[in-house]
Formats: sequence, C-alpha cells, structure tokens
Amino acid sequence: MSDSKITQIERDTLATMSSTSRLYWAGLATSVGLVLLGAWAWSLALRRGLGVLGLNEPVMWGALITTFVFFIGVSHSGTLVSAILYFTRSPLRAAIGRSAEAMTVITILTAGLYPIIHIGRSWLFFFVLAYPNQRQLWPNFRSPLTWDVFAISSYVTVSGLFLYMGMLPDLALLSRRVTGWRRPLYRALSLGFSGTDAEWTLFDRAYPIFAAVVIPLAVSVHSVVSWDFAMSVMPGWHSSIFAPYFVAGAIFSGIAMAILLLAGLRRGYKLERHIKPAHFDLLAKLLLAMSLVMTFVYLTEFFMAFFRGNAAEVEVFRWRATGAYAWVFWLVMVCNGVAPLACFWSRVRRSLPALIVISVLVSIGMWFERFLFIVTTLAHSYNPANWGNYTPTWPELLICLGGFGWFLMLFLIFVKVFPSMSVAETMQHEHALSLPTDPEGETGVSHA
Amino acid sequence: MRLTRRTFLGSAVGVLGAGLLEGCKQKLPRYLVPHSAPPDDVVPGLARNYRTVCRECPAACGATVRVREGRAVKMEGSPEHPVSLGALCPGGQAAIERLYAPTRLGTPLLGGKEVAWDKAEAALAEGLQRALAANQRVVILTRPERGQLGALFGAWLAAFGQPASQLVSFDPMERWWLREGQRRAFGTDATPSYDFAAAKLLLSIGDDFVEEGSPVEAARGLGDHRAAGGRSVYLGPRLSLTAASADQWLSVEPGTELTFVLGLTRQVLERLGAGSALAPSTLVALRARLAPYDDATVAARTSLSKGTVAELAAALISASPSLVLGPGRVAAGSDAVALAEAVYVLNALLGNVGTTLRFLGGPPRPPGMELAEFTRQAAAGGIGMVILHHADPLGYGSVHAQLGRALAKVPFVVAFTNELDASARQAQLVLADHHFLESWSDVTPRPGVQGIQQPVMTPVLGTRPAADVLLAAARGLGKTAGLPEGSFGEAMRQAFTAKEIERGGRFEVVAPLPVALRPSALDDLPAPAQRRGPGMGLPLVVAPTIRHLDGRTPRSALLQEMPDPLSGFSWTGWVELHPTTAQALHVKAGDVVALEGPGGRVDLPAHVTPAIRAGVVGVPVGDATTLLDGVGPIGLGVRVTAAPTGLQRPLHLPEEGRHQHGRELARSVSRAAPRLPPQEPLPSMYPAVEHPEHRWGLAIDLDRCTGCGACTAACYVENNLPIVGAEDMQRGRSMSWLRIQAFVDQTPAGPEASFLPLGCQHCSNAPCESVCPTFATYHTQEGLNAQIYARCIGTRYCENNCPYGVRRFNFSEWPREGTSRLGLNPDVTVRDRGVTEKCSLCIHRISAGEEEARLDGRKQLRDGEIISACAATCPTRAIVFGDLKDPASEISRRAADGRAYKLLGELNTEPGVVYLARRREKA
Repeated sequence: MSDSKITQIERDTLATMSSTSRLYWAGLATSVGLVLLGAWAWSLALRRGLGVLGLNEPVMWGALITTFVFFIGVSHSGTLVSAILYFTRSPLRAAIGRSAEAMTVITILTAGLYPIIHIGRSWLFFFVLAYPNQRQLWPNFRSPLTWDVFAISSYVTVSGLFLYMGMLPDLALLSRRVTGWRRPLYRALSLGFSGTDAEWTLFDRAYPIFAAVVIPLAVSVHSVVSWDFAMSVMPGWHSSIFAPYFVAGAIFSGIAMAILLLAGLRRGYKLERHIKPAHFDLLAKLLLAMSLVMTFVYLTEFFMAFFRGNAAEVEVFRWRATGAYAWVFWLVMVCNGVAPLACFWSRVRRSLPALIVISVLVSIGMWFERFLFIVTTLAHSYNPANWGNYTPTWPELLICLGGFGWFLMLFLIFVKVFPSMSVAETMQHEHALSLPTDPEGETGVSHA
Repeated sequence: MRLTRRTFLGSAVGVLGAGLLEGCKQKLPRYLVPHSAPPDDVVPGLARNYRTVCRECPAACGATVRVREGRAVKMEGSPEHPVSLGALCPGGQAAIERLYAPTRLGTPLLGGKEVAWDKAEAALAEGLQRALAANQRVVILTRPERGQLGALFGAWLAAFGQPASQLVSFDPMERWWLREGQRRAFGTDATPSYDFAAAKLLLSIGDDFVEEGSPVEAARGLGDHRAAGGRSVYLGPRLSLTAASADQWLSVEPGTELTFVLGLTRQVLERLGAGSALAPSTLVALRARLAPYDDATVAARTSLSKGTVAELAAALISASPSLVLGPGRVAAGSDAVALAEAVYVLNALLGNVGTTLRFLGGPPRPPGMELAEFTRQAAAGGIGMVILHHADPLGYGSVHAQLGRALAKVPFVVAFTNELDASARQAQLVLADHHFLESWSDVTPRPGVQGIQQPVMTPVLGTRPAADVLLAAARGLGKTAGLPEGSFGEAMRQAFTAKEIERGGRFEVVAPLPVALRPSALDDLPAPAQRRGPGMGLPLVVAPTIRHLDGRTPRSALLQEMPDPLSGFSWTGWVELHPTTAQALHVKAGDVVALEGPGGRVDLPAHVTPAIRAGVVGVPVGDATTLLDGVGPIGLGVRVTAAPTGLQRPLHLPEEGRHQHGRELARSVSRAAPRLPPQEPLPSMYPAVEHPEHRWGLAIDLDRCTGCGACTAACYVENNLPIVGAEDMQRGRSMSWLRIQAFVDQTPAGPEASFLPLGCQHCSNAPCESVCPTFATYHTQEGLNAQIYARCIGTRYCENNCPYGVRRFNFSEWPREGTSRLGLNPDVTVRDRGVTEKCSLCIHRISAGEEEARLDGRKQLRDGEIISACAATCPTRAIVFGDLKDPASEISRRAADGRAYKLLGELNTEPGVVYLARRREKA
C-alpha cells in the first residue's frame, strides 16, 4: 500500500476522534441530560427511600431489575458478535468489531449500576463482594446474587481486556500521532507496543484466547443471571428452561441491537462499502431463527405449566396471558414472535428501514418480556391473599431512562477518546484487498 | 474581607463547628431514664409489671403493663382478672399507642387557646361559681364510672348541693334493649352472665359478640366452646366475624329476626310439650301468644325454608344445654326490646337459665338520669354547666345530634379528655386529663369483678388527673364536705389494700340469683314490620367492627392501619354490597357509592362481597353515623338509597385475592372425622436441618381463631412496627409481621369464610435464606429464621422467594412523631429504611426467658414460660408458642393432632408453624 493510502485509512478510521460534529454535541448533551435526570431521580430514592418507586409487597422487583436484565442481554450484541466475526475471519470485523466490543463493556457497566440502585441500602453494596475481613464475613455462596457478582465481574473483566488488547496496536499508533494530554495517555496505555514482529506474533497468539474465552463467558453470564429467577421457588420462575431461554433471549436482543448498531455505524462512518445488504440479510436470517427459538420457549413454558398441573404455576401463566398485564404479554408476543416473521421475505431482509423497525420492536419486546415474567410471577404467586399489582412510578422510569443516557454518554465519550474502528485491522483488510489473489477471502498475510 | 489562609481556616472551623453543634441538638427522648435519681426498684434493662385495667371500652379487661425505664411499653391481659384472663383485644393492644400518640393533649385549653394550669383551674372555679350563683344545675357526663371515681363525682356534686342524679353515664356501647327485655322476661335488673363453653349449641340472633360487648371474654368462651365440640349458628344479614366463626350462617332480611325467634320458640314449645322446665300455666300462655307464628308464616316472612326452623328447634332441644344470644346491634331494630325478651324466653324454655345463662346480683345501678332525660333538660336550658369526663357524644356523628344541639345551649361546658375530640371542640374549657395508664380508678364490669386502675408511670405530658382538679376546685370554693382530704390517689390507696392493688383488683365468685320467667312474658308483641316494596331503598345494616367497636371516632392510628380482618381494608370506610345488588346498581368493586338516608349522605367505596345478604347495604358503624340522624341510638330499620357517583377509590386488595382458588391454605376437616390425610415426607437432596436443643414454633388452631386481629395489634406494639399511613397501605406496603388473611369462598352451602393468621413460618428449608447474598437471614440452632438488620442491604430477593409473602421491606423511614418514640420497646431494634424485616418469633422474649432460666440454674425451660406477643394476647388461645422438640409441650401435642398441617407443605419448606384445620359441618 502506498503511504497516501495508509494516511487515508488513518484519517477515515480516526475521523470520529478528530472532528466533532454538531450532531455529536447534541447527542452528548442529550445523554448527559438524561444521566442527570436519572441521577436526580436516584437521589430522590436515596434521600426519601425506595418508597418513591412503585414497588410494593408482592412485587419487590420491577422496572430496575428489568432494565438490568435487558442491558445484560444487550451486552451480547458486542463481544459475542465481535468474537464470532473474528473466528469467521469476517471482513466486517474491521469495521464494527471495536464499537461492538466497546458497547459490550459499556452495557455491562450500565447494567451493573441497576442492582446497586435497586437495593435498599446502596451504600453497603460492597457487602456482596468476597473481600477478606477481620470478622471472617463472606457473602453467601449459595445465593444466585453472589454468583451474579462473580459472573458479571468476570464478564466485564474479560470483555474489557478483549477490547483493550485489540486496541493496543492502535493506541501505540495514536501515541505517535497526537499531541497534548492524549500523548502520555496513549503512551502509557499502549504498554510500549511498538509493532515489532515478535510483538505481533505474541499478539496474534493471545488475542484468539480472549476471543475464545469471551464466548462461553457470555453464555455463562446469561445463564447465571437467569438463575436469579430459576433458583427461586416461585411459579413461573422455577424452571430448568431458564438458562437456555436467557441465552437465546440475549442473542435475540443482541442481534436486534447489532442491526441497529450496524445501521448507525454504516450511516455515521459512511461504511456502505463495507457493510452490505448481504450482511444485513444474514443477520436478519439469524434474527428470524432466534425469534422462532423464543416462540418455542414461550410455548414450552406454557405447555410445561399446564402439563405439570401445579395450581400456582398454571395460574401464573393463565394470568400472564389474560390478567392485568395481558397487554404486555400480547405486546411481547407481537414484537418477539410475530414481527420478526416478516424476515421470511427476502425483500424485508434487504430493506434497512424495515429491519430497523423490526429491531426496535424486538428491543422493546425484549424489555417488556423481562418485565412480564418478573412482575407477573411476583404479583400472582402461591398465596392469593398476597396478590397485587405493580406500576412503575416516574422516578423509576427516569432512572431507567438515565441508564440509556449513561450508556449513550459513555459510548460517545469512547468514540471521542479511543479509535472506534480498528486502524490496524482496517489496514490489514485493505492490504489484503489490494493483493492480487485472495481466493479463499482469507487475510492470512504478513503485517504491514 | 480579604480571604487569607488564616481567615479561611477560621471560618471553616466556625462553619464545621456550627454544623456539628446543629447535629448534636437532641430531640426526644431527652433522657433514657426519666429520673435524675432513679428509685431503688427501677433497674435499667429490667421490666416492671403493673396490674391495671384497660379503659378502651366498658368491658374493662384487667391488664398487666410492662414498664421499662419508667415508660409503659406493652400491655397484656391480666391472667388473674376473670374478664381478660391474660388476653386483650386489638383495642387494648393499641392503648399504648394512644398513650404516646402525638395527638394527645398536654395542656389545658381555654376558649381554644393553650393556657397554664392555674388559669385553667381559675376558669373552672369561676364557671362553677357562676352556675351556682345563677342557681343553675351542674351535670357530670362521664364514661361509665361506677367505682370510687363515680362515688367521688357524686360526693363532689353533693358538696355543691347538686343531686346525685346529675351524674350521667354516657355509654354508647351499652345494649340497653337487652336490659329492657330482661326486665320484661324475668323482672330483674341483675347482670346476665353467659357460659359459652358449656353450651353445646350457640344460637346468635345478630349478636356479634366477637366484635361488640366484651370481645375478649366472649371470644375466649367461643374458642372453648368450639374446642369442646360445640356447634354454633348465626342469624343475621351479614357475615360478621361472629358469623364467620359459626358453623352455619342463616341469612335473613333485617327486621325479620323477631318473627324467626318467635317461630323457633313455638317449634321448641311444641316439641318439648310438657318436658319443659317452665310452669304449665306459663306454657299455656306462651302457646297462645305464639300461635300466629306457624312455620308457613315464618318461612314466608323470613324467606328461610320451612325446614330450617324445625331443624334448628330439634338441634336446640337435643343439644342441652344450649345458649341463645342477642339481639346485637345489627338485629336491634325498633322491635329490639321484644326480640331481647323473646330470646330470654327461648333460653328459659330450653332450660338454659341457671346453666349457660345466669344472673348475678350486685350493687344497684347508680341513680343517674338517662341520657334522653339529660338531653331534654339541657335543651330546655336548665343546666348551667356540664362537665364531660371522657365522654364524647358528638364523636358519634349525628347519632347523638340532638344531644349535640342540647350541649350547645349549656353556657359552660368543661371537657376532661386525652385528645381534642369532637365534643371537646365544643367545650369552653378543655382540661387535659391523665391517660388511664397514668391515673387511678376502679371498674366493676360485672358483679364479683372489681378491677383497680392504677398509674403505671409518671405522666408523659403536663396533664392533671380529673379527680384532683375537681377536688382542688371544691377546696378553692370551700366546699369540702364529704370529700377526701388528700388526693384521689391517696383515697384509692385507702379504699384498697396494697395486695389488692398489686393483684389488680378484688375478684370473688358471686352466686347466681334464682330467676323465673314471668307469666306475662311476650304478652306485648309488636305487630310484625310490614315488608316494604321496592323503591323504598335498601335496608341498611350498621355493623360493629372489631377495630372500631361501636364506632367511637377512629382515634388510634394503629387500629386504622390494621386491616379490617374480614374486608382487609385500612384507613377507610366502605359499603358492602352483594354481587347481585351491585350488579343491579351498576356498581363495581372500588366504585364510590353515594348512600342517602334520613340523616344525610355519605360517599363510600364499594366492597362487593357475598358476605352480605343480597338487597342489603352494609356499612361499618363508624362511617354510617351521618345516615342515621334523628333515628336514635339504634339505627336499624333505616333504608337508604345507593347510587354510583362515577368516582373510583380502588381498595388495595385485588378481588381475586379473596378466594383460596382451591389451594387449601386455610384448610378444614369434617367434624365427624377430624383428620387430614397424612403428608408423606418429601425427598430432599440435603440432610435434614438439626436443632440440638429447641425448635421454637407456633401452633395455630384455625378452629379457635375468630380473626379478631389482637395478635396483629400486639405484634405492632411489641416489635416497634412502623405505621405507614393510608397512602402506603393503599400501595401494599404494610409492615405487619403477622396478619389475618381472610378468604370468603363460595361453597354449595353459601359463602364460607376462613381466617389464616399468617406470619413468618420459620422454615427449616427456608427459601429466603439460601438466596440472601449477605447472610442477613439465616437459620438459628433453635429453629428461628433470624434477620440481621445490620447485614441486610435490601436486595429483597428473600421477599420474592418467600412463598408465603410474609417478609416486609422498609421502603421509607416512616415518621414517629414527638412522644410516640417513648413507647418504643427498648428490647427490639428500630429498623432503618432499606432493610427487610419479618416476624422474629419474639426472639428477645426467647432470649430473656432462656437467660432467666440460666440465672435460676435451670437446664430445662418450662412449657409456657416463654410466650410470643401474639400467643400471649390471643383471646381464644388459637395461637400457642412453644418448643416443638419438647414432647410434653402443648405445641407438640397440637402438632401431633390429626388436624395439623404445614402451609404449602408441598414445597418442603418444613415450617416451624403448625396449623390445625378448622372443623366444619361437612360430609
């Protein structure tokens, strides 16, 4: 490749870091505003107690836990997609891998806030951490919530390292390109990576390990989060289908989110050349497949409830479909089960607006799906005299909205501070494209 | 000013110091021990118990008050007092809450303004002098005070030359029609006494004895009656707590009870023939008087089937002795006196007089004038001064509207009261009296029982006892003839021995008086009330409730918060409508319904329930008063119109939560074979939980439970439970550790109510324990599911995973205003917001009991030595606390009963709470 070409690639990939559009500032202002609103709503809960939420005697978990599970689910869209693309040597990876990985880390950091906000004494959240102390007090290792702490902290550590590791060559490059306060930052973060062949060999050996570890971790973290519910005795929660159900749900919502992300990046980074309708077609097929899996899971849950005949369980499922939250149930069914069926038509699969609509519907559906099974089980469990209802209050919804703002804010800051596309991989990719023959489409070539 | 380092540091220290000082400012309580030099007998940390009398209602149960560091913290029934025998009702339990209520009056009010005591006393003396100078009469209107205090009032009036008849008793709870009926039937004024336990069949004619009258004594009687295998039948339009405890509910239209009882009496008379204990001439006379009430007439008027009366008559004859009770408030219409007379006749006919129904002689009623006479005199303007002593006639709404209007004509009204109630607001001078736990008196609820009310602590506020204020006024005016020289307290100490005061009263067995039915009984029967056609409105049933008794203004926050056992509502009134009535009126549950009666209109949310007769409107008594203006103190026979207002006031409980949905939470067995199928032990992957020494638990006999809720109220006081208020209750954030769950299930035989007192089940395999990430909840070696508040971070996972739904979360820091903090039990932690809590099985009482045994050098604890607050106050002894590992204990005996079962046993939680199924009449 010529030097000018390399400079061109660098300029393209680093564009988000160098120029700042009005849209960016508007987005940042909006997200910071949402975070401030959410923080204010949380401060209400801290000052006055959780009484400002809509929770009550039977329904002790609500919108906050829903949002937690939702963000954990969304985190799939990142690392898993990126790791799979890595192993399939997909050319897409160069374009979207970094953003996807960053999104994973950020969604977990967002999700992790919710249990802390949700608990009665947020300031004592560290009680669940296993830290050595004089009183020999440890968390309860039988509690799924303790498992959550381990699963989520492992996931955020490994996916954070995966992101960081992949960024090392770029940081080294950047430390030579920038001036001012960024220079020492990137130099320190690049850990002295200088691009020697020995370093690249080590890098190539280490990187796949992370990519390989991240995939089972993603499966495990969703399974563990599902056990928060499945390990309980509550009708509608206590079911062995929950772990695969959660993993499938996470992949489902992850794909929907990936489609939205890709569509956004394609537009924002002008990647029409790299992200082609065929890619969307593939994702849409996957979305369709996962939607069918979800529908199967929903039907299985109902079937098992009625097959087993446990009065409390039958009642919970009957009530889910016909009770006070029936509208949520049917919304979920339409969004998750019916809307993706449109992907049977190839015209829909290749129409970006249609896919965006379907993905938004799936995202909404998946949020409400978590809301549905959390709330209906709690509201309608074993003791009829204890049945109740739950409606989120506006501080609660503001805290949820604040989470979305927090997610967007961190993402916008990330793309401003770190390269949001892998410079090194793009160069490899471009280099490979410029090679005369590449019959298998593989990029197994030496580094620039 | 230039900001230098020096000035900056200086001002920083100043600001910090000011902040710290502000933080140090102490609110209540100022001193932990309210004595600068504590008396020898006050040991910090050790409780002292004082016997006294509960004055929340005229039943006057004996009470034991636990005093810690000079403050009363808990009231229990006195085990020696024959009325309470160790138990109290919810109202009695709430007395402590009212003692420290922030709404209590601490200073006298003159013309609505707070004044010092010397001014208030001067105003009293001046008003008194003015009335005497104008030669007008002075009247004392008091709650029933028939002991030393009443005598003092009489002597005080006499010292001013006023006749004793000017001491008037105000007792809105009194069922005077019973007294009248008794006079007509037997010609005696003696006090009736009922033996529930000995009666094999109880027939209640609209007598809600669990709710009104003497709730503790009656409920205990009912519990013993049921435990002995007795049956009971309730006749009335509404499924009250009493009706729910009965085996059969005969639903009749209000106003037809007299016809029913007369028809029943006729049947009994015919079946007994000459076998009755009555004189033949009386029988002949009765037969003639009852002739018109043949089966067909009765069936037509009451809309009960013809066989019902005959069946009941046969059952009454075969179950000897039986007992017929009533009429209570819901059956007391314009024919109440005749109905009471008929009930007495029926009892006499069945031979119950002398066995289950006795008459005790005693001192005659004091010669005070009747309330009606007082009202007439006051309205005529002949009374110059009225002293209200804990009497709040205006607090009953317009039931006593005439009296209220008459009071307005009295030039000088003085009120001795604890709170600024409706009547005190009308008074020119309000004198803040001691609470009954701070002052002296004595009460005789029935002959042979003289309870002594003594102060158990120094007063909370700057109040003065009414007796001493009156004595001081008399001395100031030089009228001391016949009055004690010292204080009233000294007089009381002279009147009773120290031993009697310590014991809480003078108790003796009184021999029953022989009585005979007068031959003239039932000679003056009123014509049966005409059944009114449609368009005249619906008959109104004004129901007494266990929380507000006769409808005295709901004053206690605790009783307001505690849900009504049957409906589950708190902080609100409601109107009960049968589903068919509601449908006809186009009313749904939670719709606000406008009721219009002769006295005005009230808007109440609708409670649509099969627990009331179709075509009848039921309203708990406190909320119905406006409807009854001008009707007089009974309030039956009133018809009201009901119409939806279009507004909604949803009541917290979802309608579907009122049924068991076949889940058999509150189970029942047939009386013939009272055994449940044995429950096979379920397999478990884990070894069984071991309890090396004790396994504490509760055994709750649903056959005895009347659903009165005394346990709930006791738990609130004992365990410092916060009162969350109407809004949070509506949201379902009740903090009660123990609640009464009522289910009304439809059966072929009609609606069937069951009660389930539900608190933490203290499971061995507790679902809540394994899910807590911080070990804030864990299983103790003694079988308790314990909660460590300091370790709880409020994930609420435990609450989600509790299949019983008994865990509570502190959503907020609910306020404890002013003096209400003084009533906190120092043995129990006050929980912070953000933590979970639930029944601790009174762990502090267990520790105290174990400690005491250890100090005594005993290895073995005696059964019953330790007792939880709920079990201690249960009037029917439905709840028993004990050690399940002690095979000789009462709880182990109950756990081995064939009726014993574990709640949601299929979940294999292995609860430490055992329920005993209720016995019902079924195949």
